[in-house]
Amino acid sequence: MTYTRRMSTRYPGCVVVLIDQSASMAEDIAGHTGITRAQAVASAADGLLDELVQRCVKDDDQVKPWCDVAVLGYGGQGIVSMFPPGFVSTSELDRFALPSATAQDEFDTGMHWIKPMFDGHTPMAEALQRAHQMIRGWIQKHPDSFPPVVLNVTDGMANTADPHEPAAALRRLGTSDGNALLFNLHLSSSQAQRVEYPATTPVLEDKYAAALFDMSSEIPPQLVETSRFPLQPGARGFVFNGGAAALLHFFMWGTPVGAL
Amino acid sequence: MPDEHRRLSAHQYLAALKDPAGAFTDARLRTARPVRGTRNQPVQRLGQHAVVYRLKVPDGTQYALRCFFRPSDAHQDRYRIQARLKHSHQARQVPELTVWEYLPQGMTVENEPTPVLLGPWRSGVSLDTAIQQRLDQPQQLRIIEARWVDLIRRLDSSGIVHGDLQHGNVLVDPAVDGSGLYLVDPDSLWTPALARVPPPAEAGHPNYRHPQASVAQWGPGGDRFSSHVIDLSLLALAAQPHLWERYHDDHNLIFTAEDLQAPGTTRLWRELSDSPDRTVRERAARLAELCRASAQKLPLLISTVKPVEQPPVTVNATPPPAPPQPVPKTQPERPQVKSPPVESPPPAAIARPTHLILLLVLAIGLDLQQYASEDLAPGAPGVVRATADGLWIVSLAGILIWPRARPVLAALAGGAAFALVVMSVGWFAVVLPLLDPDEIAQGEEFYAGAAVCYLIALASFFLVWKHAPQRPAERSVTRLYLAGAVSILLAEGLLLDQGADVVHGGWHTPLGYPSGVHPVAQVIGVSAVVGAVLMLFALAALVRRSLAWLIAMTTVLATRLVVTEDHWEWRELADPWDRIAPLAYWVAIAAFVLCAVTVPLARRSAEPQGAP
Repeated sequence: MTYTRRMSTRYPGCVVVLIDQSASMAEDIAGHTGITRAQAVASAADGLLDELVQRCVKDDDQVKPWCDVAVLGYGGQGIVSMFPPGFVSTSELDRFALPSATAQDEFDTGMHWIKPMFDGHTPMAEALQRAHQMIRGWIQKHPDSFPPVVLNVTDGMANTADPHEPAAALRRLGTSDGNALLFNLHLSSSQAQRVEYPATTPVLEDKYAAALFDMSSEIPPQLVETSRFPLQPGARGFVFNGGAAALLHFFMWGTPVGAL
Repeated sequence: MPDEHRRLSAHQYLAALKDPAGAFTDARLRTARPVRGTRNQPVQRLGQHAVVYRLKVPDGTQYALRCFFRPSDAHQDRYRIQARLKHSHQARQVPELTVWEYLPQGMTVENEPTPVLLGPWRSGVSLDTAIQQRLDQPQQLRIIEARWVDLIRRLDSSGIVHGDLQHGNVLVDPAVDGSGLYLVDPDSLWTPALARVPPPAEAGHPNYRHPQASVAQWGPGGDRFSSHVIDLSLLALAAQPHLWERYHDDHNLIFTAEDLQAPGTTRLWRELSDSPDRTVRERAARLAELCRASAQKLPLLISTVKPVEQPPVTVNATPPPAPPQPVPKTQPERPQVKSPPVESPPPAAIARPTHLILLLVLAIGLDLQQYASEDLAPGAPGVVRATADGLWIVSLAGILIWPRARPVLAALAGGAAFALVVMSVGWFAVVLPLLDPDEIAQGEEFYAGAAVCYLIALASFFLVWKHAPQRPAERSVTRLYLAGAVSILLAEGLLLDQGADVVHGGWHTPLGYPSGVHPVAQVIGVSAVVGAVLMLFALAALVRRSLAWLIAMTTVLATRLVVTEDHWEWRELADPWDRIAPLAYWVAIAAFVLCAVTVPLARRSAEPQGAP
């Protein structure tokens, strides 16, 4: 059985978040005027990191090193790792938080890790290659862990090189517990129909749809079963034209918290 | 009605907690504030289905507030019905179990009334952390294990099933007696009232459940497998702490789902079968057996992990109506091999109060019957006889209802019988005349017998006191047994002391029984030796734990026979009352000997079908 390993100190998990930081991310996200896509993605990713840390809290006072996290932004400045070492363990993640602008109270730590940015083009292929390198190294250290999960959020299509091949290479990586999973979410402000976790190629006019669908991993049956969402067998980890809510769901769903 | 598909996140609940007066209708919570943890955030325990917050109200009371991610799902029924446990008789048996109150519209989140669960906040660390902190103190681990066994026994007899016993749901609170246990997490809790409610989505933690477990088996007996995994893990770690480093992996103790799926074959199983602790080796072999057995038979099979033989016959050796057979559920019989007394677990008790009452009535009935037949042994000795009978019946009751102490009781009863025989017929008197008649004239054998009596009385006292169970009903029986044993032995001892002054030329025993001729005394002397041998068997059973209860019963009954002076002549006795008791003893002995021979075989062959 694959995709059954639980994340632990001995077998940590691996989550890589790829964030599109191209110029178009400055546009408002669908349904929320005044909030840019970049802000929405940053906030959703912060929520994801915070939840990951929360889920690694043991006995109310210790954060366990159960998952390694990397966040890569891709845009005009090329590929930027949000954390200098690349991967950061959940037990260390709080140390990498950005200084908070808001006052902390007992309800909000004001923990933020991701700075909203937007500039230039969309080097998605390069970002996938970079993720590939990092994950290959990580797998050598953790050959029996739950396979790495890559969550890619973009609002357009790669415009530097064809990402298909790097995406396929990434999906071929794997641990003894299964292949790495690449899930894609497409953000948009258009009125086009939203598609979530389809099992077959969605019939859409948008040329990106089919491409991103092809790049996305099929959700393994083991994860379909434990999913908090109703999924068809053979569903792909792919959301097209999602808004802020879909983004949150995507992050929460895509993170194998069941393995934590 | 709220939306069926409504989903709430921890963040939404947290936002609502900012204004407790607006969020809660329950007066207790309107001033509650969340307690902050190390991350400077409200303490929250995130689960798959819910998040739990720790709330504190100004008077210092702390609550656990359990908020659902899917507040409207069909499983709400479970929580509503579970909440009825709060003041129930069942829940009182297991105070360690957290019982949650269901507040159907307890919290307003984003302007919608939302159901939440409210319970007491349990402090303490999870079982795995507690173990890690005590790896270098095997005594402490054994104390936890003893408490675990006791807790599980009460849980099992209460009819409540926790459904998800695993390290994260067992809290160890050092503030409570060094290592008080709590059971948390209501997601899989089962009670008989939930029989018609759909089961939860998952059948317990993969590292703790039977390889073929399924949610369809949610119900009685559902905790047995996992409780044994935890029990064996604790025992194994007490004996081999290095297992922790090698096999613990944050989501287990030492067993993983792979180990349970491949019983006896993985590296862990091999290490356990090579354990220096014999108990660990035996328990590991049993758990492996359980893993191989079919999941459908799980509850019954689990009950065979320990010798939980149900006496196939009742032991009503008397005319009064048959006492109901106490129903032994599973109970870990504990080897006393290595543990100092303080580690010995409280013995298991399974009888219901009604059983105890019936048994006591039986004992009293027999006691009265013995008074009625006092003409056989007039005067003070008759009282002693009556007391002796009461004692035997109470020991039988104790042995029946108190499976884990059976060997102890058997040894005690055997020892008492031995002493009784020595005292009453003067076993020494059979031997001593051959050695030195002058010594006999001085009554040495009586002093020797008295000394034995005092010794046994003292030993019994400490033994039973140490093993006194915790529930009031059992404690009463134990104390009664103790009082009976001590008083009879002291009485006998006193009689023997006086016996030293008694003329013993005509084989008058201190009990005043006119045993008459020498050959009879020899027969009784031989019986006494048999009683002693049986007592040794019982002691051996204590260590070996095999067939312990059968040997124990046989011992008690056989030794009882040898102290009944009329056991050979029962047919000739005129009074029917006099005949019944010895006859009943013979029948009972025959039954138990038969069981000793056939039951283990029957049990073995019945196991595959799961029939006890």
